[in-house]
Amino acid sequence: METVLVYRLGRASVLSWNTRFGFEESASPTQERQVLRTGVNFSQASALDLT
Amino acid sequence: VNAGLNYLHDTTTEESVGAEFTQDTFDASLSARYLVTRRFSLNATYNFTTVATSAGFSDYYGTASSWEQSTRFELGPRIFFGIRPLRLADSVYYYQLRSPYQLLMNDTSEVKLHFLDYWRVIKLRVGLIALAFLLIMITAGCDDLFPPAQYLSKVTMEVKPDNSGTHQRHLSGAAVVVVSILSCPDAVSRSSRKTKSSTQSSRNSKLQEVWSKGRTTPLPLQNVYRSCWG
Repeated sequence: METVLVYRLGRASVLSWNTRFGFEESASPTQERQVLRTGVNFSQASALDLT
Repeated sequence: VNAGLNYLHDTTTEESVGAEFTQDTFDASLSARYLVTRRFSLNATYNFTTVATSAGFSDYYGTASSWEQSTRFELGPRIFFGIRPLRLADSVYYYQLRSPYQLLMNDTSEVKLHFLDYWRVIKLRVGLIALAFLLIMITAGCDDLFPPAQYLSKVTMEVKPDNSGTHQRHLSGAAVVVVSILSCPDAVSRSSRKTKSSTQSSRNSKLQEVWSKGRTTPLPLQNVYRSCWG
């Protein structure tokens, strides 16, 4: 299961939340691997005013 | 400018031994990129990562855990071809600090196997163990019920003193006769064909010598055999 939530804070700011939960590839056939991944990321873009 | 907080929880179950390994990774990153031209930028990245691992058989004697922490700082130019950036140099300024720590039970870094570990494996493999046991028992039973043919023979000899004479030689001669009876040609052919002819001829001459005692000419062999068998 995967969810992605993106929220735009302003003209140049983005906040996103990613989550993934499920089975992933394991190292051997006798193993079962269950993984939860979640993360919050923030991006801010800025540009110099060259004029 | 980018900032990120990421959490990873990884649970791995080893079905063969019933063990469970978990790993919790916490990662915090802060990066800044300055675009000098459309295709060329300067980048600075800071990463802080903590990995906590636990392993073992948690149902009866707890878990063994460890964790490590790393800090990574990157500074370098990147050039863009298409969408994805290409690093011009792999971390021009690269700094990494790693601080491993071991937090284990009993202050030991090894996961020691407990008797219950073996018992757990035995319980998991009980079918295989029972199958091997049954195969061994069936093989042993078949070997016992259908053994290869074996034969047993028993011979009782009675040696009587020869009262007709006074010499010890007669007693020994009688013993030789009895033994020779057992070695008569028919008996020899039944018991063993490995007897050498030289041995047989010497026995025959001994028989003739014993039974011809007191005679001027030795008895024929047929007569000796006839005397042997009565």
